Amino acid sequence: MVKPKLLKKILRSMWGAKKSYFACVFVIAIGIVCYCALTTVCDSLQYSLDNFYRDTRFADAFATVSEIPKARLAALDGIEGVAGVEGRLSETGRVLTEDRETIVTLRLIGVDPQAAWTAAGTAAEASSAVPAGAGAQPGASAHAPAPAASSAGSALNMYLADGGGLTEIDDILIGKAFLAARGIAPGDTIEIALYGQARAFTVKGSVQSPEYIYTMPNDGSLFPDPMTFDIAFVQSGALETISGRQGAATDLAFALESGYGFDDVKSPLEDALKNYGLAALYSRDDQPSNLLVTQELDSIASMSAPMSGLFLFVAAAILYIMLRRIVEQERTQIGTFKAFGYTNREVVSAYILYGLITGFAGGLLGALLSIPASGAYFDLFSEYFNIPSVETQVNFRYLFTGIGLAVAAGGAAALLGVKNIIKLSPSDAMRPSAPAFITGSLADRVRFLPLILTKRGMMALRFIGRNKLKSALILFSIAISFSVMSVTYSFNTLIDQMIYDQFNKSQIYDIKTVLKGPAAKEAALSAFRGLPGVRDAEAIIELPVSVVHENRTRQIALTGLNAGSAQFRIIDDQGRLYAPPTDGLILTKNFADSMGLTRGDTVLIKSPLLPEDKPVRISNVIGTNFASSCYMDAAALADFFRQPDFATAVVLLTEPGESARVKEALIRGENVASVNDARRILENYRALMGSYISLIYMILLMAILIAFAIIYNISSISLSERQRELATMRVLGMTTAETAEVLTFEHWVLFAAAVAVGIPMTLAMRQALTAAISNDLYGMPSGTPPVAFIYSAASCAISVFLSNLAARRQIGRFSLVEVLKERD
Amino acid sequence: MAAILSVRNVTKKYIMGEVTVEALRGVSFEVDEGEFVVILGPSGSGKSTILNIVGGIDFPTAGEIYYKDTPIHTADEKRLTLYRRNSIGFVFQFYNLIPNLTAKENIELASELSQNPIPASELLEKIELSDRAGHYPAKMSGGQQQRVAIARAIAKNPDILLCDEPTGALDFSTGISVLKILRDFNTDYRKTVVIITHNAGIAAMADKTLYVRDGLIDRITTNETPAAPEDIEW
Ligand SMILES: Nc1ncnc2c1ncn2[C@@H]1O[C@H](COP(=O)(O)OP(=O)(O)OP(=O)(O)O)[C@@H](O)[C@H]1O
Ligand SMILES: [Mg+2]
Repeated sequence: MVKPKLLKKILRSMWGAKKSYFACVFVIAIGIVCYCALTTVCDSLQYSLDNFYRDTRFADAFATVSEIPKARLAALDGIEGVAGVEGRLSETGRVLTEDRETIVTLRLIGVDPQAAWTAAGTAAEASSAVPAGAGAQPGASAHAPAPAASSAGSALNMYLADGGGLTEIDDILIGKAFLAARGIAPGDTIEIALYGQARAFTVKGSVQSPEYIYTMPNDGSLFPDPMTFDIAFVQSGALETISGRQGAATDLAFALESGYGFDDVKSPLEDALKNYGLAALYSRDDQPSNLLVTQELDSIASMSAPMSGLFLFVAAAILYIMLRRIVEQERTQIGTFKAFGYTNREVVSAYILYGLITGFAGGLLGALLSIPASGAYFDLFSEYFNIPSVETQVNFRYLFTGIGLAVAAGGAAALLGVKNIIKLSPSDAMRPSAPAFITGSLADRVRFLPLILTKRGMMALRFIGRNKLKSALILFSIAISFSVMSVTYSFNTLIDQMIYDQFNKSQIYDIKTVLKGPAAKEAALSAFRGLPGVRDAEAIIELPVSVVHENRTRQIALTGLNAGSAQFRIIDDQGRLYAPPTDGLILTKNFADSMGLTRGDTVLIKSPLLPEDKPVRISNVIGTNFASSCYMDAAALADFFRQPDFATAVVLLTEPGESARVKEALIRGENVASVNDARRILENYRALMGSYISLIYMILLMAILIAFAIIYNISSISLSERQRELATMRVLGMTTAETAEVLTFEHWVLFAAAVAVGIPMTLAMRQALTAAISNDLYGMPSGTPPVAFIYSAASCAISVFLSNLAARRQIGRFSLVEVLKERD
Repeated sequence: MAAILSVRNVTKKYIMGEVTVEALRGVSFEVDEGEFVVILGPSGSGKSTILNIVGGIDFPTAGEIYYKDTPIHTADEKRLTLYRRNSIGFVFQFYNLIPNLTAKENIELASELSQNPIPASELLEKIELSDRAGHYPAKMSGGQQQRVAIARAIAKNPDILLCDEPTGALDFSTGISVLKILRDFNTDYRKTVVIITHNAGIAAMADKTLYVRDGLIDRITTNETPAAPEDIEW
């Protein structure tokens, strides 16, 4: 459609202005990287998750009981809607290590060795496996792993063993993160103490289970800490023998018949399990690991469109401005083309090529860059989520959609930019453009402005005022990058602030000791206070319960705290202090929201300690940045359960320098399940956030580069538009700096306006992001510290400054004679 | 009378690949303070090149230019800027007014640069555009724009006014009015004026006329009794 000569001309003039086009291509590419990488990661994760759940037969419902004989499970099968039941025994065992300051525990799960994929590794490895029979590992099948074992055909929540199955009674499979953190390799021996008995296991390899994609320790810690806790799978026979709980199950999983939902089986199951100490009964949606993974996936998915949209908008805005300029500049040429007999259509489509080519280049670059980007993002994800790693499939559908989006954005921007060509008659085109209709601009309306501004300032202000659309686009583009920067800066600053607050204002203690079971409060306290090196001790309660509201059930640690505590206090994200309520619960906002609860509602508490579910009022909902919590006054909590005052954990402040000694002593304690150093928790949190922070820095860098690309581009467009004016000023005897002032002043005014617009824009973005990203694990810190605005303003200011410097240099290099020679 | 401008053996070559264009091939002349000088010559002979070099917006390939006793050919960009700022006023064929500034503001843009500017209102009166002070260039005729451009050049109160075909785009009577303003500036403020023109008639106004041909000064004539602009044969 486009004549070859016209194409050649366009390619040449694009090359002439290559820096500007590169800037555009860059911004588009960023947008497309966001789009392609996020959708690809999301898709790959969803895909591998779905596959994993399907292949391992992830259960539809779950229950935790104190103990139920496996023989009784068959009866549950008879409940209408229940298709299958699986019971496993689980126990927390202590790993005997050289480490004298930490208690290392593993959640031991007894499984049927058949209920595993014995095929080593992932689908990817299996498909490229050695030829069948050619020395393959015993039990390894060359085809894609499938739950093959016939006796396990109906098993639920099968696990994936990497490195070999549980063939011997003392074999053990442990979470990958734990093995990595503690440097344990297959073949090593690990000693685990349970009920006072130590027993050696041979590490066969790592394990992945649909129930433990995300592993939350069960000692009330907020974050995974693979150094001290993980899951481990052993043969059920082994676990039954050590614990002396022959034929017992604690963790139940149910498959439902198709057509039945959790609500259909909930009350019959509740009734059936009531007598076995039912602690929790919940659906797959509320399964803790699944819940977190799903939330994470949702937040990734919800970011993709707005992020890429913002960047594409910015790129389209620049492109539009550039093309408007090109058409203006080449109006004589356009007139000539038309006079030669080219149709409007031919000329317009030729000029649209500028946009299409730029869009295509940006889209292609973005699509290509998205391949490593999604790989990196996926790796980041799999650091915390233990899921069989699929290769991030290069999904051509997304790559093509990405390129298509970019081309469309480029084409649309170009079409808008060049549509004036149609109106241009050849004779008009030959004449210089009619001056823009001149109305009074701000510079004229505000009386005092002419008094304080130089003529150069006036020129700049009028220029802004006379090109309202262009100025608005520039302003918004800068405001967008400013906001992206502020959001990322604020996120970063707030994480530090929030960690600081949490560990200096809320969890002030040095050490938290979790007891193996509830102990009488006074006895526990006096035991701990008596330890040398302990400055003060305080007893708290952390009790796993199920919170039931309408059709949702969630497990949470109900935390009982003491009024006037100096070590563990309830504090919200605004730094406000709350007394532990004696007449109800305080819930954190993320938890309340996920359950659809508000202050004043009543929920049911389910616990083996309660003969039946007991109602309690929500006395307050507070915003925090940390994991879901649920607080009550410790004494009131004991009352609630009709128990005398008790403690499940003790928090301590140590004398300076005595921390190690205290920990050593604690670890030897009879009734001690775990000892947590507050500093370690803090470090863990930082590590968790650390990977997000690296992502943040990436985004930040992009935002800064984009801000620079925008401002630089605008500056070079302005330069070319106004070189005649600028040259005239030079001839009048103005220095390069004085001349550049016309441009630089304009940039600074736009910068100031962009910051003014960017501040509310940031607040809006922050709210949207908080909503999108918060999950049960961590909150997106809310609020935007002023320092974030200062940083971003400074970053934008640097971009303005550098662009101004470049503009000044270019003005200095003007050949005055050349510029002024031709008439405009 | 002392020479305000001395041009000695100035050459200008443009090297374009294989071809070298010699725009000036050794030009020498002097302009005295307060003189009204006209440069005449066919198109492409090098008139603009001379004016640009003298005005400090272009550089000679060789030769010397002195403003009073200051060498211009060796001046760096900073000194050239100062030279243009303090000593030179430029007027172009195509006005080059700033479209964003009104007539008066265009003039003030220049006066802001000077230690002892001529007030804009005074100049507006001189060019008979006081009633147009607030108008933007786009709303003015070519002649009016050129008068504003001249006023802008004069506003800095420079010693020398350099005009490259100031009447080139204007009709007869408008051209005459522009010439009158230039003449008045020359006489009322005792400033040196150099104009390039294609129009041989204008030479009648000049104290001195340089005839340029082929990159060389063909001849220089002086005129003891310059004619008034009104009496010029166009
Ligand atoms: N940038 C340039 N590159 C090459 N040659 C040039 C350049 N500028 C001017 N010339 C050449 O130098 C010569 C003198 O040009 P100049 O503009 O001084 O002529 P002029 O006398 O002002 O002509 P006119 O009356 O048409 O304005 C011409 O032959 C022209 O082609
Ligand atoms: Mg010329």
